[in-house]
Amino acid sequence: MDQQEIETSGLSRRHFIQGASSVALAAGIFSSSSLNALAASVPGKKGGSLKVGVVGDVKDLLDAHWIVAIPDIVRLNVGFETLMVYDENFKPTYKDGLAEEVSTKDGINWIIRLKKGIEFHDGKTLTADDLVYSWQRLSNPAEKHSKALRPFLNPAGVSKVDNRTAKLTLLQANADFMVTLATYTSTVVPVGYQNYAKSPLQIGTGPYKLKSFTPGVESTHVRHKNYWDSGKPYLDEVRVLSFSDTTALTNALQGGQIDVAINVPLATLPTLKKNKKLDVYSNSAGKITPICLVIDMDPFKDVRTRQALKMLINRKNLIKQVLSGNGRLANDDYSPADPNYNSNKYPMQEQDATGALELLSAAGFSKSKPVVFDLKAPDDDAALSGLAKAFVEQVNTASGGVVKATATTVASGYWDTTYMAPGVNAFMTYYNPKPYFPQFSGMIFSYPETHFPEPGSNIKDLYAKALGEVNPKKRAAMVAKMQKEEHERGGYIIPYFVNAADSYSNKVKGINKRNSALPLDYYGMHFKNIWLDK
Amino acid sequence: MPILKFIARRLGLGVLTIFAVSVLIFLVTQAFPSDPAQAILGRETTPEALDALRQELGLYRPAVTQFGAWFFDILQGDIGKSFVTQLPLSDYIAPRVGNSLFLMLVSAVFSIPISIAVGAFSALRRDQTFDKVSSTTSLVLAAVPEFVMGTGLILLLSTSVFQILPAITLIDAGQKPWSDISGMVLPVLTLILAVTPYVSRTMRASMIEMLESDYVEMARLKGMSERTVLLRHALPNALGPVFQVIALNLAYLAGGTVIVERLFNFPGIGSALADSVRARDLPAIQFLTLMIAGVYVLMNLLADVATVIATPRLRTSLK
Repeated sequence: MDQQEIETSGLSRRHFIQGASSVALAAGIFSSSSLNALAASVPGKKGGSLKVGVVGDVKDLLDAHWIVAIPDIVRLNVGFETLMVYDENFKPTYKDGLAEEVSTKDGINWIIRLKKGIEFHDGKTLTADDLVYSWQRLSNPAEKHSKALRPFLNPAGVSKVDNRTAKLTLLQANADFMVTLATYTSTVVPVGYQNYAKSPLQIGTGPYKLKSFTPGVESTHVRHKNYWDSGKPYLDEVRVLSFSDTTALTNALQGGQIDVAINVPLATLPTLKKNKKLDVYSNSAGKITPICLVIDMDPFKDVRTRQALKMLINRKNLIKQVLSGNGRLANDDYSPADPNYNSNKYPMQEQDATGALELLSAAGFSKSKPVVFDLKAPDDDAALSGLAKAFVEQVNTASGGVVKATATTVASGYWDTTYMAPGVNAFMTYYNPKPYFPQFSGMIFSYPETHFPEPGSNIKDLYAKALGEVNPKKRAAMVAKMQKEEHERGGYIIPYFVNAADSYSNKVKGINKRNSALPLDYYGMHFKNIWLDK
Repeated sequence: MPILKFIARRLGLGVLTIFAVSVLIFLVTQAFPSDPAQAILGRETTPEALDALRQELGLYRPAVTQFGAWFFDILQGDIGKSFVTQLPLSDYIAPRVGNSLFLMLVSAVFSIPISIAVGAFSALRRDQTFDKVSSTTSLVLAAVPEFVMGTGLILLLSTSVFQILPAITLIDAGQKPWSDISGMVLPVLTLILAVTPYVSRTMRASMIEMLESDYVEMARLKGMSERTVLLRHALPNALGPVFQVIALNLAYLAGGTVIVERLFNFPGIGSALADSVRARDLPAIQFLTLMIAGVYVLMNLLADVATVIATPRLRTSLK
């Protein structure tokens, strides 16, 4: 059974992780992640310049707390670090973070103590003052990056305890707040920090400090000599180069002009895998590309229409058709790495045209009065427009004409003009892997794409209660209720989890091949684990 | 001097053309489906932030006021700031103009002499092997789109078959365009292959016409050497129409190489224009298209002047 079969056969995630490494299978007792961690801990060779390619343009920006596109995430990660970092199960850990200890008794008051002897790029020692400034900037309601944090924290809730300790007093209890501390945009910056547009001086604690940055062209980051994690980083410099499109990006990688290509198209994987000079890292942490059906607009007002569409699709075929096999089955649920994933143990939805047609008929639809809608998708992501087309084709065919849907690829400006726009009842979106709570909050509060929940639902109260609940069992019971409502009445169709693929020269060493929220295990943990074998 | 009068008249017409183009560009940018403020702030923004940015960028002013202010600034040599980066556009565009000019010059230096020589020689050897081979080749090359040609060259010379040339051009910020000569080979080769067929075919046709003309016949009858007949009589007259084609191709090389620039990740004005359109960076779009239009007008003017000077019967007919 190769990796692709494991991923599409619906085996548990634990099996998948073990199956991903043949060495781990042979060894039997090791999980692949521990072997990879071992490989990553072998001391690397010093020196060299790593060229990282990513699709970007003149809109590229640099802000320690705010990103718009992928190049911004890469650059943020080179220079800035968070207090905690997710492990492969999306549990926040201290290992690569700046915090020594984070504690709470009530889920409201959070005490954060910093590791000793951490220096910023300019030689200043990291103190609680910087922590206070960082979290005040992060939660400042005037800043657009504070949106997700606003319900929990405002700048007045941030205070200093001693030189290495700060306290965050939340507006409501959140037993899951460590997840926020480990979110990659929750970085620590020095007092007075401003983004690149206001000050080209970008001081952080990360392993490389910014030397130059030209949006749409490149940025160069040189080694931070007094970096806290001893012996690291290995490289002299990291250069992030912007490419106009993925064709130029993969050509440059194959031609040996760059060492790493971030986010290569899934369709190029067979070619890249054949190239003996390259390594491909396909990350299956749970990226989703949901089809959004707006639940308070026709024809989706009737819950039976939503349910029928979920039953009409053949999820396995969609993975083959749209992702060339590079994904695994999903059941309209999300966050597969979360401990509470699919807590109601729903069986995988198979294609069931008969059941779907019964529901549609009960909802008053027939061949003479079909379900009609136009599914909108952007043109800048083949995974989204491809799914829209394949989905429409499947539901039209399987329903035998009771559904008459069309798919429109919006040529330009989709995210500004069409996405979540008034009057648009079916459209595409995407999310990078996240644990359950932040993903729920994103879909309900930050981007209410489907207008879920329905009037009279208490799911928002349930969410607030579950967040504040410290007892894992009680909390799991509440999550199960939330997931039941989402599964049965939600407007998202999530047929699969998409693999995120990156490729790099086999001279590039030290990458821990585990599932992570960001490519290449947080870009080789801010590139500090990566070294070049010449 | 009649020639100066001719140039002045054409210059005046050129200025009018550019003004008309600038109005057109402005109208087109107004018709974009989303506005720059929305494009800059992206999907995660608030109506207040949008409103503030629209105010800041002056998007609430009447279209005529916006156009007037922009055109007045351009006349004074101020091309403005990028909406997206808030940095002076000149910092962004100037190095790219240099890069594109260098790409154009290198491509022109190779492609023009080659195509004139190939065209003239084909005409001399009309219907013989060289003519047949070069005609077929140029027809095939002219039919193949540039991105196919470029991708083919990349596959052949840099990724799949041989790995001898870089697949992309890496010109760092602040570096001169010739800092990555090996990276320039493939884009230049693609452009040469794209431009040469047109010029050589025009040259061939024009040369054949001249060789069949009465005055060449006359020159030959007068007993002049074939060399003199060709170089002094046929060639200068044959070049007239070719100048027009060369000018159009140079203008194309200077501004229209969007596809080739994107394919090779070349930091020129073609890719800058594509980038600006995607980012709805109005000042950048307006200035770049205006500049490209200016190049077209200038190249056409130069071609007309060169044609007039090279063609005796046109030169003498000027009043």
